[in-house]
Amino acid sequence: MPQYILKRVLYMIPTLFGLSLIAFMIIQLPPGDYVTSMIASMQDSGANVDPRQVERLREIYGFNDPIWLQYLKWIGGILTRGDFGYSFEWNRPVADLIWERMGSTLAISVAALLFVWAVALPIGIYSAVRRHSVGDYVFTFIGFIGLAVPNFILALALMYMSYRYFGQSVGGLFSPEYVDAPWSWGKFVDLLAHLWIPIIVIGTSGTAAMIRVIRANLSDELRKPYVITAKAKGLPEHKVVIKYPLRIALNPFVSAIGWVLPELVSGVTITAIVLNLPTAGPLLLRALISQDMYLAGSFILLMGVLTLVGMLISDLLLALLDPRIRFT
Amino acid sequence: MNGISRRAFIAASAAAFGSAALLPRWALAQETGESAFLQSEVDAGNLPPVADRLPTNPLVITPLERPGTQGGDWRHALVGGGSLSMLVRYQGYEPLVRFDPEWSGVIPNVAESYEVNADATEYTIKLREGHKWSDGQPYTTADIQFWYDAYFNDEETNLGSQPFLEVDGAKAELEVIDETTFKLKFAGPNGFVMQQLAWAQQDQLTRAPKHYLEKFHIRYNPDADALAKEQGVESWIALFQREIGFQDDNTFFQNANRPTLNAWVFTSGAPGQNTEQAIATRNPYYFKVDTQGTQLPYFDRVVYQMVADPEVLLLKTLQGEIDMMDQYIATPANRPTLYDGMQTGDYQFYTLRETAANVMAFQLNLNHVDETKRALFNTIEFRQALSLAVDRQALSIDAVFIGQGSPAQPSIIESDPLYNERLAKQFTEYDPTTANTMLDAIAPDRDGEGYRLDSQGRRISIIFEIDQTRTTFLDMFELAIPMFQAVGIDVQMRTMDRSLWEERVRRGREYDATAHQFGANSGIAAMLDARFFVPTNSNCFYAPGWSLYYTQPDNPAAIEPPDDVKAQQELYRDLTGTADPAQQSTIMAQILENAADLFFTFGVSLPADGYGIVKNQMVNVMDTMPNSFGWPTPGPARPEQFFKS
Repeated sequence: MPQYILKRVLYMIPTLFGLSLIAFMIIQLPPGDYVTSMIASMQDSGANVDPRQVERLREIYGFNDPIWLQYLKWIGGILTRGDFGYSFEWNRPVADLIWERMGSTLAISVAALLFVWAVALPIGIYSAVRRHSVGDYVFTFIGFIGLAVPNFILALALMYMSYRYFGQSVGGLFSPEYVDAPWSWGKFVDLLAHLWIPIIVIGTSGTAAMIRVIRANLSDELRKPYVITAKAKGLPEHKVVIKYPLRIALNPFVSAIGWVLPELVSGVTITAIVLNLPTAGPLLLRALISQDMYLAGSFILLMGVLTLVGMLISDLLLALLDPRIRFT
Repeated sequence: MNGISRRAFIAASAAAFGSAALLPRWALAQETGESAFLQSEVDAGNLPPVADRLPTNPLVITPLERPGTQGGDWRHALVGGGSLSMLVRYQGYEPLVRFDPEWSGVIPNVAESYEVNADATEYTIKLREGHKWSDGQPYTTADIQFWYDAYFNDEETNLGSQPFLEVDGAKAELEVIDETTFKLKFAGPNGFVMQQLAWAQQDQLTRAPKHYLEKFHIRYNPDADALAKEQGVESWIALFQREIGFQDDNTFFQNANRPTLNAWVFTSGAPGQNTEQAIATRNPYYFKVDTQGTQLPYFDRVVYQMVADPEVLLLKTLQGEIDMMDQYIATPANRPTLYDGMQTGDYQFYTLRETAANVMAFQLNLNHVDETKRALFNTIEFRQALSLAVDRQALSIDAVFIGQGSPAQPSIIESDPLYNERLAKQFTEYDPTTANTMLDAIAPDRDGEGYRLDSQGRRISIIFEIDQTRTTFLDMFELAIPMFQAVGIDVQMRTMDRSLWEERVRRGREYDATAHQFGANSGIAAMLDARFFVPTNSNCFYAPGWSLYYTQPDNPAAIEPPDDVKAQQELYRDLTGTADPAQQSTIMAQILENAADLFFTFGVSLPADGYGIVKNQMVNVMDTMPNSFGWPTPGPARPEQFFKS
């Protein structure tokens, strides 16, 4: 087992290297660079920019260097000094920017994930056990709606409702008066009043998908002879379902963890923009639009790392859950 | 002299001298109360009393409606996180001289007074005695000298100079006379220095505090390189440039440590550091008082909510969380929604006078690399015929702008003294028959599908390359393309991402045509930004090569323009060399007359007025103000005298 983990970790190194290379190249693919997009927004607001100044800026930012040199500078900084570079747009080190947003990002994503599991698991089991019952159809119907409605529409609708009927400040995680205030009971209540919208919005499609997966897997499992035998021998229903079939049905649950980790960082970008959440997603999008390449590149690299780690964790968990899976 | 008569005296003198009246220091010391916001700081001895913080001769502002009281928050919002250019509008407009609220001229601001000599080669500017930066250090000609030596004239730190401070490639010379007086001297006549200084974000002279910046410059601090390394920057040059922040607005406003002369300063971290809000508090050393002697600004704080999406801002506005807003959400489409929300949001509308020269200007690339196309596009009748082929009423006014505006070419508005009817109205009528006749003379042959052929026998296709974020352009083109096709011209639209558009159009030469807006439609603004009337800057997409020739004739990419265009450029050079307003108007009128002959571009209509929303309790906000970047709405309307009743 430790050998297996070591091997997996070693494999990660070339994968990450390739990943960083591809990420950097993709960021460089669109025409222009950060200076282009900055000049565009300045001219857009009516400022006249001297062409000589543009050239000077390119020099300062080092955009005149060949791409491979820019890449070496960036990756060299990360490897030797743990320095992810400097964000042009924010004028701050990339690492600071990313870490700052990690807290709220993780809080929202984990809360949404728990919401998904808490809702999807019982409903999925119910739907599988009581297949084709009225309850199953009702949940299926709701689930499909949850899958089909785009998140941002749901977010806008809920925000409008909360503005129209509850009269609360929309967007963000806090009302303006609490943003800079120290933690207090009032601030916590204010947070809860804001948090339900993102959690429901982010959770719905995940919940719907999860219900379908559990329902399908569990139904397959419930028809197997060992379940019928167990039932015939008089085991109580909840025991029959939970002891073995559910464990097997949980496999997709666990194998999804590999994707959950990077999702936590970037998954809910559109929702976060619409809801004005201070998470990492909008920052990444903004960095890509303005071609703030070190920030964007570091984000993509970070997500790559998270995916790899997530995959490893889910593989290990799978083996724990299902003794039939062996390390090779 | 008792208090009442002094007040009357101040009011009278303020009325007589505009807003720059003289006040002896002792008068202020008696009259000016301490701000409650700063009282504790003063009591603790951290701040000198207000009389010692003001300049000897503060700028007296006559409030628009009535004087107010200090206190309260001005609640604002910024959309898009990283983009801080908007801050100049709300708290960053403190140049030496500023545009007056009506945008009819410039008035003293940081400078107490200024003089121009007869041939516009020498500008004498006088600062205010005892004026201080927001950290209490004096603002004197030493700061001007520092800006001149360490940045403006410094080969290493300078990021491309400011063209308006140059004449024929020679930079302005600085002569410091005493602690408050200096002269800018030019090699030749330079008429628009004051107007250019008043233009938003162009005046660097009021934004370079020597005592703060000198430690980053190697000539003033030999350890500057070490300091840079400490901060993780490669060399002192990069650090100095970052600290002075002149390269772009973001860099400038993100630095909260640099002292300013502005009414509000960021104290608890730079904007953008906190992703939810940014707060600026009153500058204790701000140099303006109202007619009652109260130190401005009235608002203690400006609170910006950081919003990622305009729709969220719209909801916040409807909820009444925003005190004033005319950007981002004030679109024609949102007008009904905002109108319906007036009651609950407790706000009203004000008018934004649009200053763009047209809603959209069709611009054929007159410097095209393709010989045949270039010749065709340079045929003035060709452009005129295309203009006649456009049904402007159907195109924009009915379809896109909901019945607002009247057909016009890029031009000056009718209410302006410079209005030129021929420039505005020629070839705006919808007349496909005449258009066809004119085109028959230029390109009579047609192919099987009815499209005209050029002199090489190729179908005349004009591809308009459009930045896809400009949705109104896309809407208009959907309707315009069939109109061009009806006269046998194969016009196509190619939309593309902004960055690709920048690359292909702003930096390239191979595009057939594009469409754009902006420019200016009145007075000073049109003289400073004459993009549609004479090719002089990089916003003239119809003639990139000619424009480059104007500023850098030696540049290999520059193209020598034909004589009539060259004459127009010379005329513009004359204009910029004239300081006398009457003379300026005469020359500008001639430029506009020539522009009507040259017919570089054709447009659709003058833009209809926009709007903004302002909370009902806000006082001293103008009912109508220009909407512009150069007159950074609402900066020149003097936010320092806004307050809430």
